[in-house]
Amino acid sequence: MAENAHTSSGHDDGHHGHHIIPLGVLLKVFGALIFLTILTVVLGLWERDGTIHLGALSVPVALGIAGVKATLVAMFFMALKYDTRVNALAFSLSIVFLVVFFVFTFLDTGFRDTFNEWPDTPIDERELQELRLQERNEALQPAFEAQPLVLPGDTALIRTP
Amino acid sequence: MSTVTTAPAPAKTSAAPAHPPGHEPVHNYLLEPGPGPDVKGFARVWPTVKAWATTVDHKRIGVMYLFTVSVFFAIAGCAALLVRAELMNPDMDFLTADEYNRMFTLHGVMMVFLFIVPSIPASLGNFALPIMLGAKDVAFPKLNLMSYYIFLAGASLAVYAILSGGIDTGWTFYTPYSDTTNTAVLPMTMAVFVAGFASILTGINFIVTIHKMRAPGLTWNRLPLFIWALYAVSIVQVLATPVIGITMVLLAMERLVGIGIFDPALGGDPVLFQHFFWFYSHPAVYIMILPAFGVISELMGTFSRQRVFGYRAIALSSVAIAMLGFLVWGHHMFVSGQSPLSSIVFSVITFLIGVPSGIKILNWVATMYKGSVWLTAAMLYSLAFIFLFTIGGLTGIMVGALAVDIHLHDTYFVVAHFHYVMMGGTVFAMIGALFYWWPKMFGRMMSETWGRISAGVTFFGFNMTFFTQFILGSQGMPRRYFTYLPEYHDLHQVSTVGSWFLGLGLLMVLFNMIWSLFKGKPAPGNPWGAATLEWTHTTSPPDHHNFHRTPLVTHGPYDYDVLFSGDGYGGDGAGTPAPVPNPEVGGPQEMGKSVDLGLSQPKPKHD
Repeated sequence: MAENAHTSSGHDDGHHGHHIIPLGVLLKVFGALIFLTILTVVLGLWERDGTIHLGALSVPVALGIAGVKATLVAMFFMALKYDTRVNALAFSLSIVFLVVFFVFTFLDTGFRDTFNEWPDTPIDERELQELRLQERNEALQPAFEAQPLVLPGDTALIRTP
Repeated sequence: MSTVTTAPAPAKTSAAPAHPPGHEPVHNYLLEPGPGPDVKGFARVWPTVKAWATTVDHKRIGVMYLFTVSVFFAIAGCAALLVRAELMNPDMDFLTADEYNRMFTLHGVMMVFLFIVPSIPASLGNFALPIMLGAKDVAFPKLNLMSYYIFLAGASLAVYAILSGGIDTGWTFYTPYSDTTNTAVLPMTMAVFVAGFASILTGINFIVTIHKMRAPGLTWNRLPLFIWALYAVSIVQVLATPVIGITMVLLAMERLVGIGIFDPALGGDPVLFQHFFWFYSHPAVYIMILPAFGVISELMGTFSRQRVFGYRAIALSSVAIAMLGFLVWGHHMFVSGQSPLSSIVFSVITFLIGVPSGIKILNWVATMYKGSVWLTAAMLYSLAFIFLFTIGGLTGIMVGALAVDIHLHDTYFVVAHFHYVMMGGTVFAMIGALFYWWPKMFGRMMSETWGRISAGVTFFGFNMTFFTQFILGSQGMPRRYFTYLPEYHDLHQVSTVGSWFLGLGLLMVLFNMIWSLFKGKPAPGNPWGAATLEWTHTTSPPDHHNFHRTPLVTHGPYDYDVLFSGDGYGGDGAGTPAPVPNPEVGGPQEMGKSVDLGLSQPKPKHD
């Protein structure tokens, strides 16, 4: 009898009633939600014990499980699965915009300090410093050039005492 | 029986059908419902007020919105004139520095939240949208009235905030200053919070109306482009406005209980406020400009006597702008200390907005190409729009470029840029729209001559005021300062004098409107020879319930050839011709040989 609610015949009287979701489906969804909750907790415990190492994936996995749970709730408990597609679209659009807001704000807060990896001195000043260094090196260059100990025509050294 | 005083000479309702069959203007929405013709003198006042205050008629609500936003436009405009007058000289003339800060904040907050955001959608949109769809009203008429009263409540809070000292934060309410200043920030944020609900309700109403209440035959591809623009705007209103509500509540909580969302000492982040604020306020920029795009599309088609070029491209570019508009808010924050990565991403997406905007400009210009351009006042305003908006848009690309923005940020260049878009764009389009729909709204023609003169004066004054500010800004004049260095003196004076011309032009428009209500020529049903339903299927002004019969739409919104030949579908199921006006009325081709500027009644076709 509950299965009949799936067919459109129940709605042909012109009034848009609630879709009646079979109890079995509701219970299955409930079971899935409980399982996922347990999974989240168990994963958390394992990670603390050191049984598994999710590392950087820790938060994405937790958020993923939470997302699946939220989707199940929206689809079955909120009956969006049986509603007009437009409602599902509107619902998911609002989620999309929330995600957009978070992601773009994260682009800021997550990379805030990267400015400071570059030196504070302006580039023209840095170029000038580099130029000065180069000039100084060039000025010092002769002093460091290798001098032959004995020049061919050095009579003072060759001359015997 | 005939209670009409402002409608076009309808006296003989039954004998000579001066109007298409079934469209006799017996029921002028301006008068009915209301006191009957037997009630005279002061006894009319209360019943009239009551009938208007409790109306659920979208046309009356639109007119009430129009009146309200015009009042705020006038107040905020006077504030702008005061600001400009103070800047005539660098010294303190009649405003102290504090008063100056409050004055420009008053100008900004009022113009943005109480004028531009509701301007075209809530007034002209409310009036025209259901008629253009062939519907008798919006989907939720009572919600519509409620949105008006919510808007009034928000506006009252804003007025209270001004009377209790005003605020000096600028319209952006940036933390940490808005957190610490002892001006009336709380009432003003509450005003913005409340007024936002009016915006959301209007948006929902429009979306549902467009989805559900289109007349038979009015497919998505036959929707007038004004409707497409309003649809895009409504989406933005519904999705973005809640965020400004949240932001204002967070700011209020920050001030009241110090929750520390924006306070670094408590682990908060002041830049986060800017993210919150601009996540609404940048899409809000498109709430302000998209309806203007819709208006221009209508005017370009009608006054070029030509199908709007690239109909679908214009329609979808509105939606594209609405969507992309959500992804660019960070370009307001290039120098706020946000990360270089996000600055680069926001800058790139900002450039993308230029694409759909460019598509629109190209298509409007292409619509005029080889058309019969009819230079009415409305068309002059929309030509001014194209000119000014192009400048505003291109300078937007300039300040969207990272390196250039470092130099131009918070200078008069930015001020000039957004005035070119908001004032030169939205306000010019709105005035054009008023010239266009005024005959439909009030059944009277405005003076074309004075309309054209006002277009010239406004255009001249506007450029004199704001083009100088581009130069000032590029030379480094910072915005929001009540004084300046001597080398800026000359350009500031030019700008101030320009603001007087601008004010004069707007006053001319105002007087033209008031004059027309009393002395204007009675308007025919379709003075411009337009092809959308509000012109072809209703009288001027329309009936209380818009249509006697639901129209059947058999052609696109800009198929003027079909309009003039008649399509044989009057919507009564009996094959009566659609009620078309006399083709000789309103066509630009007739301007040379006839003094009839389309201001006369359509001639009865039946005798």
